[in-house]
Amino acid sequence: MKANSQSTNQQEETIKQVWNYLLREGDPVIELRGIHPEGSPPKVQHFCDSNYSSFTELKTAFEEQALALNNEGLNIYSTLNSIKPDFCGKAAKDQDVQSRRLLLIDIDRSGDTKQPANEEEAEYAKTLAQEVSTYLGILGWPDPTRMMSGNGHHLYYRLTEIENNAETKNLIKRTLLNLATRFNTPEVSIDTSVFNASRITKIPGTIARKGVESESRPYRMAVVL
Amino acid sequence: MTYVTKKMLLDLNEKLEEENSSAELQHSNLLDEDLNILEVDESTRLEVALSKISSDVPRGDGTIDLATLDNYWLGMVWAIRSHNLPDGEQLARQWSMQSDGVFQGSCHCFLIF
Repeated sequence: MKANSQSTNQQEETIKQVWNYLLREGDPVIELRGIHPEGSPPKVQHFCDSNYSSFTELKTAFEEQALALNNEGLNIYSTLNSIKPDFCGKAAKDQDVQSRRLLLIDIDRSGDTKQPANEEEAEYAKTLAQEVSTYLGILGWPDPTRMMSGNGHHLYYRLTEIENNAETKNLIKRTLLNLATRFNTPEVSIDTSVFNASRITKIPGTIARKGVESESRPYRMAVVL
Repeated sequence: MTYVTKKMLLDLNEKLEEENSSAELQHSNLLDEDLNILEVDESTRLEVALSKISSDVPRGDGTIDLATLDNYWLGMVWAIRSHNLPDGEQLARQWSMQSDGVFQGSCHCFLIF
């Protein structure tokens, strides 16, 4: 779906999807990171449950701020894994993560990704995402949450709160490398760099802005499928 | 089951590593076959090319002087050898024997290969 056809209402509805798989009630700290496509310093904001009278209030504040920053032109992210309650700092680092609760398989076109993907490239990523999830499904893995990230596709698998340590980091890294070796094609590939605990990921309902938008390479809204 | 456990991750890696290793072996075998095809093709191409070049020339010093195009027998044999083809010596011998001119060097090909 093209960015210029998105209404604010659509974004406001879509961003609520984030509470179904990425962020959740009871998270002591939720990080919002706005990254400027041209490399200016990111804007980071933390939403601590202790500062809000209810989870609904926290959710509303998060959604409004995310969309406001996105409308300023920033790409919007949050951490893949939950942050420790005693976190204090500018942006969460690996040691600030409580446990691993999601495995992200990030599928994007191969080669130059500085401009928005065209339809064909986005379709390649969609096809590979389907192929990977089918393969894992045959092995008994659950259905993932699937997201069209704007230019590629994400698969999110819920983990059984695996401990955040070096062993887990290596296990996730090894998994992504093995999947990439098995599934990468000349057109599309699995990002093997998203293994670290404090990895951030795109928020649905926000527009992914990358490079210069054109008729064949539009900015798109990230959306859970 | 809605969650992925550590064991499932470990099992997946084991399976993928087995598959990837097997695929790598197959790929390696395919490459070997491709190389053989290239060798056959290159040999054929070289054979055709050599048939157009006279071997009825003096031995020379191993160089091929494009200005004069004479005294190049040894230069040609070395050029054929540089392709490292399994049947290079045979091709050189065949080329050398296509003429019964002044230099009967075909019997010396084995000294070069």
